[in-house]
Amino acid sequence: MIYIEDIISTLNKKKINFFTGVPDSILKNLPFKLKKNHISVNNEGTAISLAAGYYLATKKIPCVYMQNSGLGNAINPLISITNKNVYSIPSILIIGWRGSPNSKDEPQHQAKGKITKDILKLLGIKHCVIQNKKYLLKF
Amino acid sequence: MIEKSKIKTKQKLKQKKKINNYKIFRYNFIKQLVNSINIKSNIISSTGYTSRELDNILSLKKNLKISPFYMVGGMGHTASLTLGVSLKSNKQNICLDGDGSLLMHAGSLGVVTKFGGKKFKYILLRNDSHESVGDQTTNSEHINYKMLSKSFGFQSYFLITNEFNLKGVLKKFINTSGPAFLEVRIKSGSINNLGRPKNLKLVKKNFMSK
Repeated sequence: MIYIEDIISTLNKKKINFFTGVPDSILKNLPFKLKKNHISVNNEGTAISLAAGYYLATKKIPCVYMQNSGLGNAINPLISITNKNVYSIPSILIIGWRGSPNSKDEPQHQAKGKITKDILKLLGIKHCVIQNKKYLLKF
Repeated sequence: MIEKSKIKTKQKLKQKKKINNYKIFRYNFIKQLVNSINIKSNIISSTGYTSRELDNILSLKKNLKISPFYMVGGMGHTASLTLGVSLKSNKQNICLDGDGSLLMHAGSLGVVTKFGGKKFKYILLRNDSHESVGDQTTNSEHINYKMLSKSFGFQSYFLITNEFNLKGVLKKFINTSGPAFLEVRIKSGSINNLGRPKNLKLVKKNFMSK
């Protein structure tokens, strides 16, 4: 089990204080636990772009949260703006994994869940699955 | 999937109908814009000819030390990226966008006006077309951007339709308290041999070190 409070405090300790994203059923309490420095937006591409702008203005790494279903919306700015071969703009992504291999979920989530890791790999985004605080600290 | 240069038409296209009756060349507007803003302003320009023309204009004015950020990708996200910059910047934050881009993710304008602040200035270069990919219509010539901008929460709306009101309206827009929306009606057409921004890492470095 991983606790949202631990995620937030671990990121804060690494000077990651700004969050933006589109709410997700798995991470649903995250927006309510974030105080200031947080903007919930209309789509995941907006979130990635907003975060990129924040980095450009502050040199601080932002955090973007979303459900894996929204990765599709995020792909465009991830590959054509923030990618290391374009402008190389860093951010931390927190992605709720619907339809993960050990879960049973609706067909639309199972389909996306199966290919989520592959999408991240194609985008050149290093990733790991956080199952408890130990994994979080390693990350 | 079809690669570049591997497709064409059998019969040549008949003369394309003029997309709009607008009067101002985008290149001329951008030239006027860079002469009117504080050089420390953050200016973020969209995909298409806009970034390319801005880059061309600045390369010809070596003494004008403006460092923009070019959206070479991420069409539709010009305003969101500008918003991210504006959150922690006390400079003028100018988003130079096209209608094709605005429409792609128009919903973001809501967060933009809510969090963009007094220094957020949105400029819509409206040509009702995807000019840089062949001048196809965006099917948006009927859209009322004055109403749209108000509905999304912009504090004010300005319109430039010809060379006579260009300077005056632009000045008012720049001096007004934002978030403000400026619509500029743009005639199709660019310069010959228009290049592209080179060395994106340097573009980023210059933008970040203003």
